Amino acid sequence: MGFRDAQRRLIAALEEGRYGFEARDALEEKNLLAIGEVSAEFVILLLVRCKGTQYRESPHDFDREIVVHTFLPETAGGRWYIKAYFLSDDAVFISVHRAGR
Amino acid sequence: MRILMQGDKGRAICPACRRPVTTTYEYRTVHLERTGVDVDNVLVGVCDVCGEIVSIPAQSAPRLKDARDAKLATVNARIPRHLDDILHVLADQYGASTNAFCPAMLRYYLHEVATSESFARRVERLARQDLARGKADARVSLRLSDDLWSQAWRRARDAGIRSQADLFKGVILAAMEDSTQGRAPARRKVLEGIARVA
Repeated sequence: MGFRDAQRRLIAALEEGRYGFEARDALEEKNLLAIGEVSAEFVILLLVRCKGTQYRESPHDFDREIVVHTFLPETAGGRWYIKAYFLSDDAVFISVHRAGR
Repeated sequence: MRILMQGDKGRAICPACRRPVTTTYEYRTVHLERTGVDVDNVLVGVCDVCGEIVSIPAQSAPRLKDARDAKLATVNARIPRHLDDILHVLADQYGASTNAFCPAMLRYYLHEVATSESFARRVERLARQDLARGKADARVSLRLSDDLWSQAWRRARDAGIRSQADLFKGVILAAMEDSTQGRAPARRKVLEGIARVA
């Protein structure tokens, strides 16, 4: 899919409310969007800020046909870690949190 | 936002089944480990194969937030009135209302303190400036998560900040510097973002 497509599709999913979250351990630490600590609008700002060099993709552990998109945008306050994939047209967020530093 | 109903079908990847599965949306209790809160009546996607909760739709996030907010700490500090004026000036500069913008801005800056030793040292320096002095006849009150506050306060003390009031004074002056002196354009962008959603 590539950086630009992944960025565009993820922003569109956030804008249109077509997204959800993986139920996971440490949800409060690892997915601030799922617990309402950051808003969809804030995540969109992070994605807009992200550069192609701050993006990578990898296969999902449980289904290698599903591409997992990882964005590592840098802000003045540090780096963020956003990890998501698509099921149909809907985005599924695994992680939205600050990267450790 | 698309609103799902109990009984709607979906898809998810089930970690227990280790594969994509169909799901059915149901209202269940979600346990949040860190805060130790059990949140009742949360719409979740349940694996049709094993019955585990595997997904959470966007519409459930506010309910989780509300449950966590009930566990928030409230921090109060007395500050000079001119620093309270600075909060109003900053909100005005970003075109937001003080009540909506400043708590979010202060939480953001406390997060910066919590996660950056160098930023905490800068806040400590600012809290010793002449502009931080004066009769403490105004009050700042902030609700934030226990975790964020304990991390920020620990880092602040490590940086030499002696009181909660000094922490807030330094943080307010850092926000002013960032916003008026072009010192941290990226951080200023974040504040613009906060203002847009405040």
